[in-house]
Formats: sequence, structure tokens, C-alpha cells
Amino acid sequence: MSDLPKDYDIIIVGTGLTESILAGALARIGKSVLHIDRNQFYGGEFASHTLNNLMEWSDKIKRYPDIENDREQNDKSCFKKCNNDLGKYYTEIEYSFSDLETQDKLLKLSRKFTLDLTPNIFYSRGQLIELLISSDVAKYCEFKMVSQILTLDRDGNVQKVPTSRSEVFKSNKLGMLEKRSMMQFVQAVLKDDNFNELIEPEQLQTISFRQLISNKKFPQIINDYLINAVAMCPNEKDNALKGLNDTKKFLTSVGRFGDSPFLYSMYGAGELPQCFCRMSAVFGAIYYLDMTIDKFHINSENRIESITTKNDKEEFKFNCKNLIIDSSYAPIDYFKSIDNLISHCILITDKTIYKNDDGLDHISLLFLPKMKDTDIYMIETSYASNCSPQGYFVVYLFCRNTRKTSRENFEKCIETFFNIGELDENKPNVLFSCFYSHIDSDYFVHELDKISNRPNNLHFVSGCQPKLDFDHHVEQAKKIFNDICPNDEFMPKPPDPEDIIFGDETENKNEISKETNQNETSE
Amino acid sequence: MSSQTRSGSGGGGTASASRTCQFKLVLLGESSVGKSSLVLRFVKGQFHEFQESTIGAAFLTQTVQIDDTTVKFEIWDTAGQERYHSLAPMYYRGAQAAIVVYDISNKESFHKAQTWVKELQRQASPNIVIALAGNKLDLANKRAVSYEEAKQYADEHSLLFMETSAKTAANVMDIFTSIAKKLPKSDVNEQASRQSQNRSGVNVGGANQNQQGTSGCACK
Repeated sequence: MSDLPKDYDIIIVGTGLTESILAGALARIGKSVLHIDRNQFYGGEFASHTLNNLMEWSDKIKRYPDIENDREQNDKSCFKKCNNDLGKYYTEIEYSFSDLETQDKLLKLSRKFTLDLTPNIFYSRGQLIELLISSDVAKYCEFKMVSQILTLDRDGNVQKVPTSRSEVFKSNKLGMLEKRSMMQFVQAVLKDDNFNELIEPEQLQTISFRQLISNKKFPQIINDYLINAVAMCPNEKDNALKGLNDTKKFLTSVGRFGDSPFLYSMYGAGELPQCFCRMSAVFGAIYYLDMTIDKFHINSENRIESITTKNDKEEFKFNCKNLIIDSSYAPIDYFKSIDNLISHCILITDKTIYKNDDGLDHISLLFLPKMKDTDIYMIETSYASNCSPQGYFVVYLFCRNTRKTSRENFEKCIETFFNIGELDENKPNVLFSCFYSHIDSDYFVHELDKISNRPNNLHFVSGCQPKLDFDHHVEQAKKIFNDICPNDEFMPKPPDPEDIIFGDETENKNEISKETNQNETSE
Repeated sequence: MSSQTRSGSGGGGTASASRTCQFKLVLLGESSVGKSSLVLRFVKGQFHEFQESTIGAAFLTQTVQIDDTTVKFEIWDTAGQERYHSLAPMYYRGAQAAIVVYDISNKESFHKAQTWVKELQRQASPNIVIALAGNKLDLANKRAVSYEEAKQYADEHSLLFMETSAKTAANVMDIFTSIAKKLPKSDVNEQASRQSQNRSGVNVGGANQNQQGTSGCACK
């Protein structure tokens, strides 16, 4: 690979979402960018896998030896060795099929499944969607409406939450009085940014959203809708301002592309990093997958001046002015045992958790507050998003880990919705399940940023968070972009391809006449 | 051939009753076999001997007229991501047509083309129309891949096949026209009507958006 340039403005390690947005933004303004990833696929922690690839991925992580620390001394001041042991990042990985026959059947369909390591849905007016539109990256991707917002009522039944005005008025769960009070609240939230009609300014941060709602003396069903399905702010620590802002984000997103406020990425969330990487490549960034960072070299001014990369075959040295790395590649000696974990569960099932009469496939969101002592997000995708074959459903659960194992976080939730043990024909059967946890990398990056002698041209990026939407990744990318290029615009709209001038159009000496004599070969 | 091309700005003209169909076409093939040059010849009628990789073009568009139908191609280039085996699968997602390009003076590029055909048949949509282009026909004196060999391979794998030259323009128009003829034509309006159905998605940058202010909300 002698043709590979040696000098870059920025080297980016990891093709997760924040790194990919940054690659796009930096290449867009003309910076020279080298973007690498240790995997043969894009996305890192944000990748979407086929069923086979998900199994391979988990088997590979389980195989990582935990001997990296002994291998080489890492206290030299001139270089730092980077981590490539994913076993330090992911823990508690397990997967299983319900039985052998099912396993055979599902594995034959492996390619038809798109399984997200970091599933997510997006507010139609969230920052990520706005960025996709303003940067034109939207032309690379396609979305589906999250067509059902669900909630679990007090009797343990799944209810569909009405999201649009017409749905509210059609709802047979709400009486006329209830409909009116819900609409009044909605209008008051949308009225202004200080929510003057709803709350005294000094109370915004002192009382909880839950308290605010209960002060309004709504009927119970409205309380539940607003707290658990619209704002998704059920906890005492979620103050009124957060709850009202989240409610507003939900409400303003309704109607932009459809009745639902949420979008889901067609073919899975793993498409998004690829879309930003394509934009980055279109603006000249160089892509090299299956190539990882081995170490970075620090000069006497405590700046990184170069990195060594390697794969199975080769080792290279590249110079850079700035280095951006995903925290899972952080130097080995920066890794400490971190107790803050985020847990995930992926299920393949044979029925939907909420059967709608319309006969269509849906994508559903269900927020489960205080399921055992943690809030769980549940997303069910289907054939509707091209993420599973017809007749199969993929369910994602994620939460902050409060248990010993990944699985324990979700046990109660799985018992509630799925057919476990006793035969309940109405509940979906779980055909495949996969559990895993990983370091809360936001927390990890926060710790990394505190390291006193950290080189000042090194930027750490965090991965998945137990939140809906990817807006915090957009914020993170903007912040790092501003650190590196304080005077440049973040991802301005690219020129229309029709307006781009190719080569030197003024001296078209190579223009050959249309009729040439070399057509002898074809047909 | 009854077909002819129009510039991308087209659409007017006398055949006002004509239908318009739009297709995503992707280019695949090893580095420097002339993928970008083929597009540039087709779209702009240009050729540059030392074509730099194209910076800033997400895709180019060009139309081909087939009888009463205007076929609009949205042509995607690899943006160099193929160079270190790093082409993202989203690149050929949803593509209705592909041109897999090799260089007739480079045997290895023909083998690589076959790998791309395999990849497309495995990963892309099952109805994709694939054309194989043996480019650099102007270098016939340095030929390393025979016409017969490539033609046989193409026939065995149901691919359209032509040898082309972006430099002389030989067969460039023809290969795009042949693809246009083979594509299933459904009108843009029909395509739009399908959008409302369950299977199709939301294009957030496009026409699906309801034009409302930031306070706009169906809830109000």
C-alpha cells in the first residue's frame, strides 16, 4: 500500500456514529482525513449484523484473552499502546436459541435479519435528522415511521398511545373531558419556551415532572401517557424543565413526516455511520477498514505526532495533527475497571407484542419505567423496516445495568411480554436471545478527559448511551469539531452535483469526436 | 437504436405525455479501471486523461429516452472507498442497476469484477440489473482479457456485457441505454403512490416532509 499518503490533518479511529459525523464534517471543509476501524465492517459499536455475524461477533469477543496488560510495558512517555481487546469493553455476552430446529430455521434466514448492536429511534425534529437534512446526507438513507408508541397500563396490558390530534379524538380509551384536558396541556407546552402557563419559573428545576403532572389533577390514564410515553421522564430526578422540554420535542416531531414523532432507520441503525462515511469519502477522506491503531507517538510538547497502525499483514506509520479515537481504543493503561455499564438484549420472536387490526407490519416503541430498578427502552422492529423476514420480529431492550449479569436486567420484562415456561398462545415466543453489556463510554470519556498529562490533540469519543435518539452524538461531534476547527462551519450543505466542474473544462483537449471506429467488438 | 439522450435538465420537449422513471445505478470495480471516467463521459461528454478522483459529487444524474419513457439515472460513484476494501454496503442498498467495470488490459481487474458480481448477487436487491463493462477498449493492443472470455462469463451470469472506452466514447451511451431498456418501467407517479404503502420508507430530505413551521404539530 505504498500509494497511501503518510500525512493527515486528522486521523480518526473507529467508525462509530460520532467518529463518522466528524469524518464527514472535517472532510467537508477540506481537511485531509484518514479513517480506520479494527473491524472489517463499518459502525463499530453501532454496526448492524446478520444473525450469523452477530453470533460471530459475540464468539470473537468472548475469545479475547485478558492478557494484554502483561504483553508490553506501557509507561513510556514517547508512546502509548492502544487497546484492541474488546473484552475490556464488552462483558457478559451470551446468546441462545429456543431449540435446535429453530436454530436451523433461523440460520437459513440469517441474511434477512439486520440486528443492531445499538438500536435507536429518532425524533423527527431531533438534531440528527436536522443534520441529515442540512448536510444532504439524508439522500443516502431512508427511514420508516415508528408507527406505534405503546405503554403498559396499570392492569399490565399494552396500550397504543394516541400521538396525533385525530388519534386522540378517535381514541376510545379517553373520555371527552380527558381529551380536552390533554389537548389543553399540549397547547400550553407548545405555547412558549418558558412554559409560563404550566409552571412558575422558579419551580422548573426544583420540582419533578412527575410532581408537576400530578399537580394538574389529570385522570390517571393521561398521567401515564404523559409521564411514561410522551416525556418518558418517570423519575424523581427528572425535573419539570427536562420533562416539559422532552414533551415539546415529542409534540413538535409529530406531523413532520407522519402521525408518529419517531423515525427508525431502514435496514437498521448501522446504516447511519456508513452514510456519514460516504459523505466523508465523497469529500476525499481515505477509508481503510480492518486496520487498527497499535500505538500513538507523543513528542516533547506532549502532542501526538504520529500513529502506528497494523492489521494481519502490514504495519504503517502515519503523521497527524489531531487524533480522534473511540474510547474502546483508549490506551491500555487508561482502562480501569468501570462499574457503570449499559445492558442490551436482542430477541427474535414469532409474534408482535401488540397486535394491530390493520394487518400491517409495524415498528413500535415501548418505554418501561422502573422495570425492576431500571428504566428499559423496548423497540420492536419487523419486516416493515427490512430488518427481519416476514413473520419474524426483532425486539431490542436496553437500560442502565443494575444487576450482576446482562440477562438479569431484562428477566422481569421478558416474563411480562413473552411466552416463557407456561403456554400462553397470545404471547410471542422467544426464538433467539442475545444479551451483552458494555462500559458506559460517556462516563469513561469523562474520566479520560480528566487525565492530566493527556496529549492536547487527542480527542476521545464515546459510544452508545441508554437514551432515545442519537442527538448527543451530534452534540459531541460539534464540540470536538469546534475544538479542532473553531472558525469553520459545521457541515454546510454540499454543492449541487450538477454545479460541480470536473477537471479543467476550459481546455477540453481530450475531447474525442463522438464517432470513433473502435466499436468492432460489441454486439 | 431508437433511443437518444437528453441533458439532465431535460424533461421539456415535445413528448409531453412521456413518463419519467428514476433509478439508482452504482458503479463497482477495482481502482483505476475507469469508473468515474465512464460516468463523466456519459453525463458530461468529457474525458480527462489524468482524472483526479472526483471530490464532492455524491452522485450525478443523466437521462436516457426509451420510446415514450424518460429514464433518469442517479449514478453513484464509489468515492474511492473500494480502494482498501472498505466499500460500505449502504452504497449498493436499493440500487436497481449496477455497472461492474474492469480494464481489458488488466486481467486482475476482471477477476475482481467477478467478485463484485458475486457480492451484488448475494447482497443487493434480487431484481438488480447488472452490466459488465470491459473498459479501456482504446488500449486493445494491450488486451489481457479476451472479448469471448468475458462474454461467456457475462452470459453464464445473466449480465449485460459491452466493451467500452470512456476515452473514445465507444459504447458508453449504449451500455447505459441497454440497462435503461432492461429496467422495469413504472412511472414516477406510480412510484409516488407506492410511497404511501407500507413497504416504502420516509426520505427525510425529500418530498415526504410536511411543510410546517417549528411549532407545527398535528396535535394542535
